[in-house]
Amino acid sequence: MKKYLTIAKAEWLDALQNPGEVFLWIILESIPVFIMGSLWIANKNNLSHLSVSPGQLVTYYFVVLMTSRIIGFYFDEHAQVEIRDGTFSKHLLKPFSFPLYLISNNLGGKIFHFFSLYIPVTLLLLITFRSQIILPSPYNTLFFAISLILAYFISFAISALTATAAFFWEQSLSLIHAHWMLVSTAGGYMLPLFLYPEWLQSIFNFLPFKYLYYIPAAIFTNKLNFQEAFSSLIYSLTWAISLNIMAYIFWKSGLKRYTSVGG
Amino acid sequence: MAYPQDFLLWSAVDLLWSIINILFFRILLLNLPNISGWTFNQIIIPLGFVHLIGAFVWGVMYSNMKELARDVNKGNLDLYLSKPANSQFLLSTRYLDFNLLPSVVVGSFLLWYGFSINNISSPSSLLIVLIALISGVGIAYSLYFMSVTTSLWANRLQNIQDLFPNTLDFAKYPSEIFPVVTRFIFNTILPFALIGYLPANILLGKASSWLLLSFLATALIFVYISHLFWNFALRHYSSASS
Repeated sequence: MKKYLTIAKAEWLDALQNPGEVFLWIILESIPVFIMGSLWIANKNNLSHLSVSPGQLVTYYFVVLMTSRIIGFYFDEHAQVEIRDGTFSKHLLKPFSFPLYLISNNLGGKIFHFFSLYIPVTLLLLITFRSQIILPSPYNTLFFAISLILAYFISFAISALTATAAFFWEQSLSLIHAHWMLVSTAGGYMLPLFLYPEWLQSIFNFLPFKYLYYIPAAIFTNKLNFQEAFSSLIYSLTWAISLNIMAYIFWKSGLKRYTSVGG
Repeated sequence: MAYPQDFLLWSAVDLLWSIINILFFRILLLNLPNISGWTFNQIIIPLGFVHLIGAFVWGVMYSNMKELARDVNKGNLDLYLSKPANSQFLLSTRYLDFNLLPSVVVGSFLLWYGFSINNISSPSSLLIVLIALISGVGIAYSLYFMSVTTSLWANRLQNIQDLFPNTLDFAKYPSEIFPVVTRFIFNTILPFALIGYLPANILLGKASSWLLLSFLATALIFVYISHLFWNFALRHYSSASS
């Protein structure tokens, strides 16, 4: 356990070195929420047929932004490159589990970002849209926290599956883009899923991506009732377990195929 | 272009992202009658302009700006500063990414489609498109270059090259959706509102064609300011030599 805490601490200290970059991230992260928040407020008189308030929509994007920073894993591209060029071997020689290394590393960065990024972005957006942000009901607060934890493990498994594809396929870098496209559309990052045509919603319901952003944000904004929120968490748990099992199987069989030359 | 399979793959990725961007506005406008007065049929035109400018930003500028920020960090800028040519020009034209060709095709298609559904057929409209694209490229180039130039004051700003391409998203929306202060900024200091919606307003007959000349003049002024800013920033550059 101590070695994983050390990895998390190292990542945290590394992130501390670049305050200028953190400032830029604050601006970059706030842009989509600012645009979408402004758009829905400017068109608030046209929302009556959607049974949703401008406050719910502004809060939706705010929660999606925060969720994306909390559950995001970005190791897949780097891992794919290392698997292809053979430099991945260095991770296999180290005295710790590579998946646990990734999680420790990720959490170390997240702790730093919590103070340097989440709090300033939250304050910035609360000042800009203070009259629009809504808060969840007490049971939705609990459900939201659970949905975030489950989304974290779904996100990890999807990134791990994308990374392990490099063991089997030369052009697997394109899968990273396929991953982001699906997250943007079917995950509800770009637009809340209830705005999509019904036929598209029914396709998205069969995929795990909506449990990454849409479900946590819909729970937070009180868009789902108790029954809907509860059943969504059950589905989310099922996806989290099954995707992580799949990632583990692919990881093990990929390692058997992996070869590299030199040191 | 040396790796055809790679080129085809990344072109397909670019095409899919373009389609997703258009799908986003389509779905948005299936739920809203218009965005601050702009219907889907009309919004296609500014989206076409922004798409073409976006292809320039990602295909021509991005790799060069990423490398510029890295050179500042590593102290490798000396190599370009010591050459007997304009350093700003050299640093802006080192790489060209052809994977963005689908974006050019999609942007051109959007303009063509926008012209046909809005019955825009006068020959002068092609001249308007040409001037608008040249001006848009000038403004995008200047703002992007100036934003990356700020890295000369910092020890390390490795994500500075991502700032402008992300802020270009503002140009996809009519400035009327933003609060008054932001709207003023996007029409003057950071003229994103001019890139897509000003030429679209002119083409749709909502604004005078004379405004196009002010757009062109603004672009020229911005290019000149970027040149002055670069020379000013170079005074703050120091390296341990390479």
